[in-house]
Amino acid sequence: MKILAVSLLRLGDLIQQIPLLKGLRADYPEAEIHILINKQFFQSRVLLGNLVDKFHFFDREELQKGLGEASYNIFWSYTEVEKQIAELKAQSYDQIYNLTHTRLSAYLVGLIKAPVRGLRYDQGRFQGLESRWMRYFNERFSGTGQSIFHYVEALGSALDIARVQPAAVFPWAKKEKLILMQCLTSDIKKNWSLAKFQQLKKNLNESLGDYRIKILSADFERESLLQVFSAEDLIVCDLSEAQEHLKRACLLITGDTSIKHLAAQVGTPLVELVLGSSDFYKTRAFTPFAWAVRTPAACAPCAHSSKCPKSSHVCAEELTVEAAFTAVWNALSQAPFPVVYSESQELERAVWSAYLGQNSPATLNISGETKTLALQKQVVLDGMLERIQKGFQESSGKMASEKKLEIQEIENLIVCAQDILKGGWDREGYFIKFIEALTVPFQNRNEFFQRLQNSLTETSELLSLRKDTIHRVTEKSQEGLYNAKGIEQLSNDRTSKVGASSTRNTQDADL
Amino acid sequence: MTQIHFSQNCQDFLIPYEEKKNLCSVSDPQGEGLRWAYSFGSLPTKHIVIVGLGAGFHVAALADIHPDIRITVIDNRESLVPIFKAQFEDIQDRVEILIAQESRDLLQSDLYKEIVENRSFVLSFFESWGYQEEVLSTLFAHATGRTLESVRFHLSEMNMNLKAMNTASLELMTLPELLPAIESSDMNVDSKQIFKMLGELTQP
Repeated sequence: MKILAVSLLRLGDLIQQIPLLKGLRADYPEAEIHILINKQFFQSRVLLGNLVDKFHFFDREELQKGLGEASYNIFWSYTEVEKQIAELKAQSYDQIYNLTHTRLSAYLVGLIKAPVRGLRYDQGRFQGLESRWMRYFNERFSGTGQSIFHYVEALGSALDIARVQPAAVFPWAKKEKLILMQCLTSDIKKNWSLAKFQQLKKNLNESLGDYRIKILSADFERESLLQVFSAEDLIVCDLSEAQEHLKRACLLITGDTSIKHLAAQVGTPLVELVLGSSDFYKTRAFTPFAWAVRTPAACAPCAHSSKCPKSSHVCAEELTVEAAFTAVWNALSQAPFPVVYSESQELERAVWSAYLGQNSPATLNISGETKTLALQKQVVLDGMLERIQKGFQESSGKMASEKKLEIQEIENLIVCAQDILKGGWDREGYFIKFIEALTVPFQNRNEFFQRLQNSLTETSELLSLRKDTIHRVTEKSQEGLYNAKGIEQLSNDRTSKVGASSTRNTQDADL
Repeated sequence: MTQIHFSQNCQDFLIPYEEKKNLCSVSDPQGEGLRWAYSFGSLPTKHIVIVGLGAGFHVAALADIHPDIRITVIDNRESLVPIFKAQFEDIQDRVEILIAQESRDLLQSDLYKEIVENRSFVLSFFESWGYQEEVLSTLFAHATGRTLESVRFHLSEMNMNLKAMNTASLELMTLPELLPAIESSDMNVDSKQIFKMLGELTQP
């Protein structure tokens, strides 16, 4: 069997996809796996070496030069793409996995003429969005939509690739007392100030005398870093050298960088500074060995492609050196790695996993308190659905009788949408399709009402699944909680606590 | 047509002048040619077109740095050719010269078919253009396929609907300007899809 994986995003995305490539290799141990990546990331060959049998390079930069620079024949890029597609076609792949999910990659994989998993352009339209997981990925990961699943989880599920999980126990003993810092990111919005990194390094040096603290630097970052750090502090290296340093280090402190994803892949614990457009739930380091320090700024995470709209870089300013230091301290104290999802979030993830995968919901073991909160939220969600359905019936009834649509006729629905947005209780997006149906332009009334109808059908199914999931949960034993309160002093008669009231209850006496 | 004359410099090289304008550096024509040739780094095609002959030091430098390429020089001043041939005898087998007074001299030549077929990379040595900027810039645009006439020539086999083109400013066309015409053309579906893909690469 011959497989082509197409990964034409940035380096960080490519490194994040390593668990999926491992999954592919595990699923098809005998297959010949090829990968098509951007030529500018040819260095990543050292990271993917044993997972992939052959690399193909897409020379995006040269093609763009061919399109933009006057010296190139206007059809030079066309001819180059034509040649590359002919070469890929000649490989006669049995299966293509499009890990990229862009229009460009969809056009490209559609031209190779092999079965495709993922987005493709074929017969004059985009295809591959048939599965619920793929639609979820398309809706939540192409913009600023919120997700309760990580990029790797969602993409893996959308493409039906099993993920290889990292080891659950961290081998601290194999690491050196070396702390690495990756200070600069590819986007100024995601940068913490170098002065704060400098202060953190100083504090760590003072507190942890036996640890070496070094700054990782790509060649092009050197000049900026030397404004704050000395040349001896820096390790100027390429990607493969960085990988070796990371393997030895006991901790990496970083923003949202490709080095972060690399550390996650080689099993180096990390402290991640989550700033700007960096989205903790979608693209945090995909490893259990991470402490995230998230900015308290309310505007984060912001959109990827736009500039920071604030007059100053609030999210970086509000993330303090003390907060980062505490995370580092916890990490080096070998405190238990933090849990990413709360019990409530695990419950919501179980609901959505069941819906997207069209499976039965998993049986969860949660506390009574979480179950109570989940039931309270269910009342709110069901109440909102009922309100919307009532408004929808009124609006569609008017449309049927009056054959026209006025804004007043759907104002109940608009008020519901406003309440959902203002309420802030629908982070998981149970009503996201409903809100989209109201905001996306439509060609005619029927299309509008059809879209609303579909959104309500989806929400209804989701809420029903949610109710079912809550009913299936098993409650955690409370015994542990009592023990956790600590040793209590009992009175001499061993029946009541010291200090508890011994006043006779007259009502009891009456009884 | 303006007059070309030559003058010997201190290194005994013949330096061409168009009226009073020198067509290459007088004091260091070799160094100037080398700097120009090195500025491109690696070249994307094996057939290179240079618009502007001048004294030819830049042509010789490019041929020297890239021994595996073939070069075609386009100019409209025939009087430059004999001196170039005399000064650079050793590269004559790798360098062709096309003298084109107007667009059709280029568009109807066999060499043009070859340029189109090879999608040749086109360079200009602006110092050598002298007073011929208007003619040579048009020839440059044709050679890169970035004019309506050359697009018609390039895509004759693709059934392209050129009526759909906005012909207002076609000095140096770019692919996005062609996309509406491609979309409305009755061309091969896969070719259209490649153009759509390239359109994505031009998005900011």
